[in-house]
Amino acid sequence: MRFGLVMLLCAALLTLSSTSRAGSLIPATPDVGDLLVIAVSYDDPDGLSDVVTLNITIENPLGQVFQLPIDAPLPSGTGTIQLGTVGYEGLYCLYAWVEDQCGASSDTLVDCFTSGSSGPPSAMPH
Amino acid sequence: MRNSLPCLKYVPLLVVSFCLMLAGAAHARQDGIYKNSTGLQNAYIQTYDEDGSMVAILTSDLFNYKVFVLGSWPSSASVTDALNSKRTATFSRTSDKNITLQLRLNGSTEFSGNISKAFGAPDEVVGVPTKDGIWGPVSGGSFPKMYYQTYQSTHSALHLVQDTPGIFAFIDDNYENGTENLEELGGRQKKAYIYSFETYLQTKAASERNYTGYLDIRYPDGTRKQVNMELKIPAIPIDECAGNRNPTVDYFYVDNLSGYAEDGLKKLSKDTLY
Repeated sequence: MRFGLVMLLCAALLTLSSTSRAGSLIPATPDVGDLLVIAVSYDDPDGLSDVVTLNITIENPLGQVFQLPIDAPLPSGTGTIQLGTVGYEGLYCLYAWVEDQCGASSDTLVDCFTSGSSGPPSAMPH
Repeated sequence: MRNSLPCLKYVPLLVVSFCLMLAGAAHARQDGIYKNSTGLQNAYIQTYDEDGSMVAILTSDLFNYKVFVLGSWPSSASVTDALNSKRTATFSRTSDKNITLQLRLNGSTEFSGNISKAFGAPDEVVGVPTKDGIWGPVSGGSFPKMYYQTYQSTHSALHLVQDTPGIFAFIDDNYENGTENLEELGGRQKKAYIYSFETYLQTKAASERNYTGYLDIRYPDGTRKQVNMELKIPAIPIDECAGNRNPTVDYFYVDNLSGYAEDGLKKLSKDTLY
């Protein structure tokens, strides 16, 4: 009975992880000094606007917010982007949405991680 | 193509309009072909950019033309005929489909009455920027100048070519198939002839209408011109965002991989520190 509950709990957690990370079953937890890399896929289904803007917002453990508008020259795209280096220990949250030339926006997707200190010594932020 | 529209060869633009009567309703915008109730006045109306400038080209016989260029047209404006300084016209917009027109020559009224939109322009092809507008030589010369307008439902197009010999009207009843071998409308004994009008879109962005083209035309006096053209002044397009659907982010997460930009995504500097 106890074993069954544990299995059920594990399955639930796995499902939650899979859903929230859109299929990424291995949590990505960059540490201080690591490259911050995101995977993203977006789509502008009607092609009315051939350039969409991919907006990435990063909130670091200090509460500082960085917004990165990225011109994406295709109506759809899939890939990974190196955003920069993790500078602090603590909770990072990243937000992503796309906007087309007609001003229509997608829903915002969120992914968070907690960075550790196992990386090389951090440099002072710019 | 000419065989499919024999009625267009020797009749005024009004009758051309009837022959091309489109099934679709007139568009809400101002551009298009207008006519009065008796068919004596026919007007090509085209508007440009956000400043509300407008060109009106009037004819009743496809031989004599009147050209009016309005720098702005808030609701009513008077302007002198670019081809005859003794003629003035007053255009008063009463709706998106109706204009009150008054023509005066040497102070005497030539025409006064309502003209209504018979064909709405431009044609709307989702994702394809319209070529409507004023075309001119890439070289920068003034002529030939071509007023180009497309109409809904049948994908027909009107070419009004202005050059030193005069103004000539051509109808392409399906411009999507390419434009070639167009005989001038109207009753001239020796007609102008467009051998071909080929266009090329220079940019992929739907919001930009950077068109070039190649016009091969012969005039009634026998002169032939083969000119590289470009869309100089685009007409106001139909709202390209009508029917636009929201883009989506299909997935997004912090990745373990030190990957690279793909599929056009921009790779940011890895030196940035957060």
